[in-house]
Amino acid sequence: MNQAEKIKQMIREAELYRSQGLINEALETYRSLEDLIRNNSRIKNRDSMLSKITSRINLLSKSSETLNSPGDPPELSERAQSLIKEMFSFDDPGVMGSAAMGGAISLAEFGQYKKAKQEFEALFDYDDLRLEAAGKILEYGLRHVPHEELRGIYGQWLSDSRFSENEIEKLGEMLRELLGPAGVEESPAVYTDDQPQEHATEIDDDDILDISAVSFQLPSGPRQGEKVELEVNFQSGRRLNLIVPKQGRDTFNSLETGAKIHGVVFYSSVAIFSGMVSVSSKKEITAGPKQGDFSMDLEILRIESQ
Amino acid sequence: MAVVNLNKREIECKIVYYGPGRCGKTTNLEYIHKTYKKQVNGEMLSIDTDGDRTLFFDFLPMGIGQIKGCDIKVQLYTVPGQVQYRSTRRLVLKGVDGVVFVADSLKVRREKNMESLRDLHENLKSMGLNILRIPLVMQYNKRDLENTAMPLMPVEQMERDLNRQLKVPSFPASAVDGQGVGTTLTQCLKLTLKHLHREFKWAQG
Repeated sequence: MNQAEKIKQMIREAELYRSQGLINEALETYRSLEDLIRNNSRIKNRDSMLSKITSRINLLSKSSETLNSPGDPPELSERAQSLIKEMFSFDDPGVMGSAAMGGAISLAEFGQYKKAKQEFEALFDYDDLRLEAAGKILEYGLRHVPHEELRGIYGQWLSDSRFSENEIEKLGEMLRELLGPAGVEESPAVYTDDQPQEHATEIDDDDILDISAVSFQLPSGPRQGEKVELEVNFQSGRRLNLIVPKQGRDTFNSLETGAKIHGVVFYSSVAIFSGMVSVSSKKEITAGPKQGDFSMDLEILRIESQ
Repeated sequence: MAVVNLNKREIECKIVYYGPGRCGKTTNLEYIHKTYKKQVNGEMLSIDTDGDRTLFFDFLPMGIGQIKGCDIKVQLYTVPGQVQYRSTRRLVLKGVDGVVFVADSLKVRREKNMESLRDLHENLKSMGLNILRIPLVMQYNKRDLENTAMPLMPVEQMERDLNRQLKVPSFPASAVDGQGVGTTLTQCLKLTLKHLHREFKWAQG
């Protein structure tokens, strides 16, 4: 085979691989072709061929990168999620709700964490399944959500009356194991040995320090799980008033009046502590220098560590 | 695991198309869907694809009618072939009754074929199944490229690479034009139903 035929054959091969979706193979063939042409100065139209091949290589390299690092699986349609639940769930006839557990596990295994979490949460009403379902939320969450969000999820369970103290303790232990010691230290909501659950206290207005800012994860809305930090505008005992700038409309909309927010971190000049608040009122400011911003009142319901 | 209802005389079994990425598993199912309309029970479902690359799985339900007094239903699945979707492959393989291993005849895919067969072996093992015992059929796909100047492996070489120890039925095929697709499936079904008969003694007469 002469040089020209060899080049033609290599181009045909590379194009066939590309058309078959064999991107890496196409790329490798084009690279060999590039070497062949570069090392042979007698080839006609050498420069124009090289430039075409280089642009082909660049295109294929991009596709190859995407292919080799696919990231998280995409969120499927509701129909596809139901099919996965149906097709891959298993059922233990001896255990009430176990089919639902199997379905939720299948969804989680297929990377549909958000939907799986909802399904696991629906099992919290079953005494036999609650601990396992919550454990699965943590276990699969480790693969799909940031540590901070996992700690926030656990923080919410602390004030969920369906969980017994024993269950909370076991889940805390599990979270510590999953996140490792460093992960727990960052967490105000996770109990450690020197920070036992009994530290959670009821609120007395006089005990509350002056709070300058609060931070928490948005419990709902399109930015659910995202951490926000807001400055305290005014404080009266356990009641805090916050101003949310107009750019934070999403944050404002995510917090419904009456919503309880767990795992809130309170910053004061002398200490940082955590607890639970409820949104007592919220409104848009319609007059004055802060017109267009939002005002929100929070009430501290519980302090978990101080 | 097949659902065998001896009272209703019904069997539902699961056949999984396995193989490296881009070897033609989905094309096999598409051809079956298009050609065996009478036997196909519903729509072919492709659960999410990236372009024409399977990310999750394809599913095709079939009813092949009565065999030895039993109504036979078959669920055909494909797995995503790319290496990184290992856990998805394991999920789809769960409860499998028969496997079609689709190998790519292109020379450049030789290693990928072997890698994928090893992956199948390991995944079956992790489920307590033995690749030497499970109903398995080998398909050497893309033989249509023999008519072009593309570097293909001879079938004999593929047999040596993939089937020397397994010694399972193997078929050259071209899934794009359907050649060998039906034969492969029929053979896999035969093996699967025989295997299920040994276990459940479902066949009459």
